[in-house]
Amino acid sequence: MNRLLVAVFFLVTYPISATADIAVIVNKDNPIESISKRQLIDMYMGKYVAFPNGDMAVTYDYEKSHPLRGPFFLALTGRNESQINAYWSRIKFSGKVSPPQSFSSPSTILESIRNTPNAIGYVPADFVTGDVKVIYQIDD
Amino acid sequence: MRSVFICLLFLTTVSYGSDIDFSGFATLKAVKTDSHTAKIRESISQPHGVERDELDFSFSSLGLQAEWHASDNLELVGQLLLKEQHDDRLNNAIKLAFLRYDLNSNWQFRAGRTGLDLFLMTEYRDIGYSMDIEHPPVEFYSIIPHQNLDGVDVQYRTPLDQGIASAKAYWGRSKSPIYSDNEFFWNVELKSILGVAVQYETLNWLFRANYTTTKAANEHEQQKQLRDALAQVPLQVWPTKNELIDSLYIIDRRFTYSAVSMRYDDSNWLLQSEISLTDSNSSVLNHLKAGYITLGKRFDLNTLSFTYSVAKSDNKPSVEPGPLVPLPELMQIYEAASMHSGFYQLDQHSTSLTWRRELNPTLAFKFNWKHTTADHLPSAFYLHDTELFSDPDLSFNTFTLSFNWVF
Repeated sequence: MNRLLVAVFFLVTYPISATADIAVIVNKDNPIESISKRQLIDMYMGKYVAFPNGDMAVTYDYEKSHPLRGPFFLALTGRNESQINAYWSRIKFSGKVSPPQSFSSPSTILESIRNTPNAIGYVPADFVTGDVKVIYQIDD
Repeated sequence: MRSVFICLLFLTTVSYGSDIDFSGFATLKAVKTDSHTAKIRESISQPHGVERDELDFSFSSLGLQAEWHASDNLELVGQLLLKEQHDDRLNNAIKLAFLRYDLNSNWQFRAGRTGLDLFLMTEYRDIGYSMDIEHPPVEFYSIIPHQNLDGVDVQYRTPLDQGIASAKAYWGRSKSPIYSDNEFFWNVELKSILGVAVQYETLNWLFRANYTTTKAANEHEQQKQLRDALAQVPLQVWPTKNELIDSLYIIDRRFTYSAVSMRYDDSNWLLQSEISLTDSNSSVLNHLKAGYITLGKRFDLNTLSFTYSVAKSDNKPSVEPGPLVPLPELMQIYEAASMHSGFYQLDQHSTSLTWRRELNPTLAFKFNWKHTTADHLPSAFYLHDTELFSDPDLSFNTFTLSFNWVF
């Protein structure tokens, strides 16, 4: 039990390096094997939230202060966190689209993706386990 | 609409849990001007204007939003915007209260109170954090007070080779206050609003066109009183009175709004521009043309942007010729009618410079200097010190400083 608690604590508080490789993951049963950068941008910018086969997607992100969020969006869009937040404030507060669901840690995203067939999220590459599928990788 | 919003609040309250998101935005703003005639404001729905030698904070605002995710496809959204309002406060504070249903990744339906998708920034013009410029250009955005639609909309979007194309149609009605000099207040109601917006968007580029048509649903009590008074005047004394009566009748008159917009933002450079034509089959509003262009450059956490904006209408400076017999009572009616018919007589341009500094990823500071040149005052954009109309300053500066949050 104590080992489990230590493992959970480690997963929740694991220090995320701003330069770590990032893996974009989906549920293992998701038929999608890969996704293009542009499709990923469309999904995470709320422009077209669907997998390449047209199925609706549920996007998972981190809370605004999380250290992985900035590097992910910078690598994906070339925009810093302030620019991303400004963009989403336009979309969200005009009621067009809801932003991605936000989570506090990679472990909670992993757990939710295991249980949600149409979810997509991103975690540090060394967090990836065998029960999720990597469809895109952002290298350091 | 209040009942819809109360239902939404009830649902979000009883359905506590992780399916509800609460968020918001706030702006703390100070404004100062050197104009001794114009009392500065950013929209004609603002009841208060900033006078010379006054440091004013009344442009500040706070927005609160709740979203209830009933399922992956269905969401309820409510938003309250708290800012200075004198009349019909609760109704004006409810900015959003609608149900959003995504049939699939292409089709989306919304019903309730949504934003009115008139121009590029109409739906988020109150959210200071969302824009690099300090506030939407007055010459383009200020004259149209309506920001919300009580009705329905449907949107279709599809991915193309390089970007996303979308088309949206909306239908409904809208109500918004207009304030003017001499404590003039009119809660303007538009009915039969029917609009179409098409858009093409890539990561850096956005192109958009919109056409909206609507009809006036109500009139100001003063207009009716003026028509009644004019009806009593013999035609021999005032040969053009019937034209004047006709120009004062606004209910069911059709108004149209057309606009094309573009935006380029590659994270270093920003270019945004819109042009619009607002017209009606009433002599009150003829060919109001407006446009602006913004060029901005980002330097790390700082953004400098320059904006030039202009508005010009074809309205004549006065209404039909006045009475042949200039009795004081008739001249009073003539002046009042001239005020109504000349409300949209606009010819103004401004240049402005904005410095935006990111203090952290959810807080930005902005400073704006704007130089405005008007061909005449009074202008519908502003309120005025009416005692100084004999010596109006047609060129003046405005300084704005603000802190803008999202949370």
